[in-house]
Amino acid sequence: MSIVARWIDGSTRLIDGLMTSMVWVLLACGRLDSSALAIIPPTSNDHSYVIDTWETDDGLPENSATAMAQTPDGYLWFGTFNGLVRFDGVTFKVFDPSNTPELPSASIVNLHLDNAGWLWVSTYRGVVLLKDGKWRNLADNDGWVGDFVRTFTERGNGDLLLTTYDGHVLDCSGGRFTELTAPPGNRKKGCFGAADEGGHWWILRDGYLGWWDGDRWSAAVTSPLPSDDGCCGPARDGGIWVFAQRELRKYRGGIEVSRRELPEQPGGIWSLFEDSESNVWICTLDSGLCRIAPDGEVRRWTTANGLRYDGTRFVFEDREHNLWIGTSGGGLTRFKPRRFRTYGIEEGVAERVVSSVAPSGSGGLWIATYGKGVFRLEGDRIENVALPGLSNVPVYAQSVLADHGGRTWVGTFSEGLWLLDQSGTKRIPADQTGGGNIISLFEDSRGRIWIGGGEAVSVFDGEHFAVYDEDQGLPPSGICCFAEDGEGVIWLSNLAGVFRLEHERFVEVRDDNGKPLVEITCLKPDAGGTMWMGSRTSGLLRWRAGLLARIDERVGLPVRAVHGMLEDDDGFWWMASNRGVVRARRSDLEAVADGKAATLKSQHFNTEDGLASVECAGGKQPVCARTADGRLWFATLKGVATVDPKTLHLNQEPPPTLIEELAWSGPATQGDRRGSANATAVQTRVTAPFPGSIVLSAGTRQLEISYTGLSFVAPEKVRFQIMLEGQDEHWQDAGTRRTAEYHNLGPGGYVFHVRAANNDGLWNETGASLAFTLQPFYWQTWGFRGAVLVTLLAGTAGIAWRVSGAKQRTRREVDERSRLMVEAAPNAMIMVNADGLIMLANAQAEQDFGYRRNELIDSPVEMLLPERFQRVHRSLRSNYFLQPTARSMGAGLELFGRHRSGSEFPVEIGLNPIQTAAGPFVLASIINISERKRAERESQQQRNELAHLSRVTMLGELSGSLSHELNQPLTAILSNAQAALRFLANDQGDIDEVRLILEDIVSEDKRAGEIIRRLRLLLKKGEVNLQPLNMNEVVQDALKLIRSDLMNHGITLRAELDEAIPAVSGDRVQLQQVLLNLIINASDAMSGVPTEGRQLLVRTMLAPADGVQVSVVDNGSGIPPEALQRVFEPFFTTKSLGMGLGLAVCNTIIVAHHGRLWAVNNIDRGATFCFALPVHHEKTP
Amino acid sequence: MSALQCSLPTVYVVDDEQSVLKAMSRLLRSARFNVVTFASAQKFLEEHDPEAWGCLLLDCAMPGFSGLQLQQELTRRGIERPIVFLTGRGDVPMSVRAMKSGAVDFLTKPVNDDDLLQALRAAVERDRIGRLERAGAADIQRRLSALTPREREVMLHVVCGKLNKQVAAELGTVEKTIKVHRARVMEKMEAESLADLVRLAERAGMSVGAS
Repeated sequence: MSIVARWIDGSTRLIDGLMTSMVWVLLACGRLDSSALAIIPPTSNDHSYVIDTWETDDGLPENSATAMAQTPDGYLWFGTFNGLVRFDGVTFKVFDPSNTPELPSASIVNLHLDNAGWLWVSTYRGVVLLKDGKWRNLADNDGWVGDFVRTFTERGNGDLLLTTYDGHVLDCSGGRFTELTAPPGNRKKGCFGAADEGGHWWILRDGYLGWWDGDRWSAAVTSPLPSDDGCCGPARDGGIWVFAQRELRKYRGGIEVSRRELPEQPGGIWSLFEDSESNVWICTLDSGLCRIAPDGEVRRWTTANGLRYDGTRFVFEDREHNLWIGTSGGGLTRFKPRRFRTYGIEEGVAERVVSSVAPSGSGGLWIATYGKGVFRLEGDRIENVALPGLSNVPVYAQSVLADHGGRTWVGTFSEGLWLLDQSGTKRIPADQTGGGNIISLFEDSRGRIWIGGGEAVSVFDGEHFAVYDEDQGLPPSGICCFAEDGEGVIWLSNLAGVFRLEHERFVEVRDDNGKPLVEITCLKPDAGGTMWMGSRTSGLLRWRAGLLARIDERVGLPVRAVHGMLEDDDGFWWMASNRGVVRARRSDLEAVADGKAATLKSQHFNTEDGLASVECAGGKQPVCARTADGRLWFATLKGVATVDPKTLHLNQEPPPTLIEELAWSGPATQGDRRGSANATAVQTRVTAPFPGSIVLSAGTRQLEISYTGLSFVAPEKVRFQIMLEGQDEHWQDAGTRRTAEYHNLGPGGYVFHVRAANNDGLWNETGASLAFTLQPFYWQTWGFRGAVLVTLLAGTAGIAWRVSGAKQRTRREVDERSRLMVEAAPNAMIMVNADGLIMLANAQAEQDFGYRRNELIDSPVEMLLPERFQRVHRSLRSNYFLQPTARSMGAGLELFGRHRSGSEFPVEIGLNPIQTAAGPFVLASIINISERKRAERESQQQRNELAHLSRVTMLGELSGSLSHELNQPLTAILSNAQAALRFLANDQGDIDEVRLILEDIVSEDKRAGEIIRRLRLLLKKGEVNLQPLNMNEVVQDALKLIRSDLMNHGITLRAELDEAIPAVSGDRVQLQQVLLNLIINASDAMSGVPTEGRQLLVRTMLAPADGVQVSVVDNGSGIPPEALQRVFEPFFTTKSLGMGLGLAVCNTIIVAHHGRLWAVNNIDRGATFCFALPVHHEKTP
Repeated sequence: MSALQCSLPTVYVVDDEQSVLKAMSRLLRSARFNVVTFASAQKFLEEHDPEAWGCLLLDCAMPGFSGLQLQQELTRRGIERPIVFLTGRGDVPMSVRAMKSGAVDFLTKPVNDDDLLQALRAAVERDRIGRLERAGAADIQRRLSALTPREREVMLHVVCGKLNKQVAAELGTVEKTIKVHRARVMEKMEAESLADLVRLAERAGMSVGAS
């Protein structure tokens, strides 16, 4: 051993791979003999747990699991010798030095999650810590010694006790490691730490058990341990478990309080764990896993009964009470409590396929198999019940029934009906039952036995058999089920239809449309004349007074077929299906059938829950049964499955829901806007933890969001609902998909929401959200248009230069190539001569204006204008030709084109003069901007909405100030009025005094009204109303609203208003909003400054370059330099409670006013937010 | 003492809002209070008469010197002026602080006249009792100061319930001398009986025990 240890001490230069091969040797320091023993005989069909294992083939980076932890976000983490793994139940995300440079080694020896949420990762090359995606290294001077961590122990205050493989014991309190004196004994022996309820450190090594009294180890009061090689661990009641050889002891306060001896030694001990059911689990080096239950029962698991490897490292229990077992070479194994137990071939039901089950009179169960006849289960004992004369042939039993008369009936496929009673077993002749193929058996309330056959129905009344056939209205096909309704009427189904026996004739029951009820495989009567029907193909049907309601996949029934129905004591229905068993509350079924609930709440059980097969028998009767003890039994393709509803524990943990990644593909760069849509798309990925704001470049076409729901009982059953706020109005069912894809989203702000439900359908209503912004699509800017124009001009100039003399000739000489170019232009283009006649028009012009080309050519261009502009255009046109320049037409004015139909549309027009020998021409490029106008209107509307919303939010912050502002006049009014009343009552005041009081009341009331008016203005949801404004007034108005709020925060307010500033053009409400927002921010920024020093300055001035400038200066904390550029981005916030929208909205408002908003840090302290607005100019008519 | 009872109590109203001051002033006059108003805490500190009988009606939220700060300043200066606070909003922590520091009441604006007058009357009453108490204690101190050290010693023993004989033994003198001292003590302390003397000693803070 010592050689190995030294070798490892000097191993830092060696590669981890070599280390991995050596670790087993090292780990063998427990070196207990493993003796083959059988504490409880192994069985592969484990009754307690459903056992699943993940190995390298399933995605593990290496086939061991060394330690495990569950982080507060819900992920499971485990270590392997080839990476740290994060598991969400479906995907293994592997962290190793190749993708995580912070990780010093891929070999993970141990893990621990501390109280503060840090994940301690002990690797071959040191310890690192991880939290929320951030890694932390141990500092050089923090006192760490030792190689890697054998045990982590934490006590209530967060202090840690670490033992290392090379024998060190370290106390980590307050972030520093202190090495404790080594406890007595051989330091090469495994050393285990524990903490007790009193916060004492305990240590077990080499047979020594002691606690740390502050400066030395004190031995526990105990008889010697049976072996020097034992391990210890914390007990859930605050004591310490110690296991050595085959003794499990518990100590409390240093005194042994209990001892239990196992029949045999379980093997070399590796670790010990107590689960939430108080079972103690012992992991062994090479002898599997041992469980000691509180009642003393000892069970063992090895490769013979479920494990893939006999060397086990840990048992870990997650929040949902799954137990996870790490092995030293057989992957990661999950033990989850089994809900369904199966009786199959191993238990003595010799045939796999079970077709029918029925409770026996004695509390047991009859089992009919398809091939080996019938079996009887009493207690846990199963015996075959032979049918005389059939011992050497396969017996295809299809139906079994024990009636109230103590008789048992067995229906077979080809050997007819059998009756078992006290007198023995006898076969009923086939002519009595109308044939030898018996499919279903049913006992009615009068004790009659109904026998469904392949060709006929018969009934036994206690003495005689009577046969019904086609003569009584039955179609000739197999009868699969019977039922008796509340009025004693017998119903039956034969897959072709459902029939009621009325006056000894079968009458078909049809649906509301008169169609037959086909494919019905089971019937269950209910109160109020209701009949529930299970269908083979379309779920569950409720027939009530002739009306049919369907409960199928569309309303959330997780299966298509319902083969049988049972009810438990708690009002739940259990439905056997070909896809497992479904449980739903009867009242929920009613609610869905009544249309009162849109979807059915249910649980769906399958192999994840312990069913050996999901396919339950169907088309026969009875296929499921309830025994006197309340247990439910289902005939399946692989044995009989049973569940006890009383002990069923549903998963009560709503699954933590997380968004893991946002990926999108968009154009290569933002700058390269002209790149065609087919240019190489770039994939961008952002993973959690996400930045404060995610902005997707314009033109992003495809978006993919990955999310997860962290439930580990049956991750395959975790369901999701998603909603993209900004597109979806409601939650969308995403099934079990863990990615959402969106294509061709419009520009704007979106919030993606996702929520998940666990295996039992419990939703995490909170879910997770991710906001992102898609930049507006690129609109044709003048820059772009200019470029197009120049390109086109190059062509048309060519045309124009060749124009000479007569118009006719001009047109003839148009160069074909150039013409094609104009023709293909995306905008309407027309060329006009000095007389205003159209010389040239392209296809788009035809389309936009609705004229054919021959109608346009040689016509006056004014025909394309609304009538009211025609006259003025003629004179403008003449002027233009006097001094032609390339420019856009009617800058700043709204221009309209006129369609042939007379309708008008907004246009932008670029003009370019072309000099030719034939005189000047002008080429006009006309862009129909209706679409853009509409988009602008929409976006304006959205901006208004957002601004309004943000104002409403802001007013919440202002409410303190507002209530003060209102309270003052109200106080004055009330006190004045009451004073007046008293004066009048006392006859002391003269009428003049009362008049003065009333005058004051009036003026105070007006003042209150004014405040309310101002408030309503702010809250008003309206169009932007641009008008000339004096910013000083706006500032004063805003200050009035917020004055007392500032006062309450102890802020001294100063206003420096330049009386000489000119008016600006703006919306009073929105600008006030910006000011209030800036002032509130400033006030928040000063919260850290002592009250006396809080100063706020609001200043207006005329800035030569910018127009009117308003500044809000505080002396608060200032803006971190890295945030300075980002403060105006949506969702960027430095406030703990902020939405991060305030400044973004401010910026939008100021930009819409053609101004700008910026922030700077002051030289001494605090920050200044400024905005500047252009000076208002009276429009020249 | 008679002066206290004859004059009307004064309510000092401090509020930064002129209209509120005016309205309050009217209301309080109608209820037969003397009213003096101040537009700031600073002004009140500078101008008010600590000796005048009455109370303070104080606005919590004022620019600069707030109501709570004024309360602290008065305490610091040893001025025991009962305060009724008025506030624009029901701020629980603020009211707790004010009440802990001895405020009589904490009322929310706008305030109903009955509530306000009731609180002010309670405050005025508290001021009156406080003044009486202070006046009484001062009076006893005056009487005590008239005693000689020996008489004071004798008084201490007497109020502890000792007999003249015992006192004489302890002080090393004869019973007759003690009798004389005792008579002077009763006279100077203006006590009519031994019980009266014990009460006066208690109020003066003399330790009365079985020492």
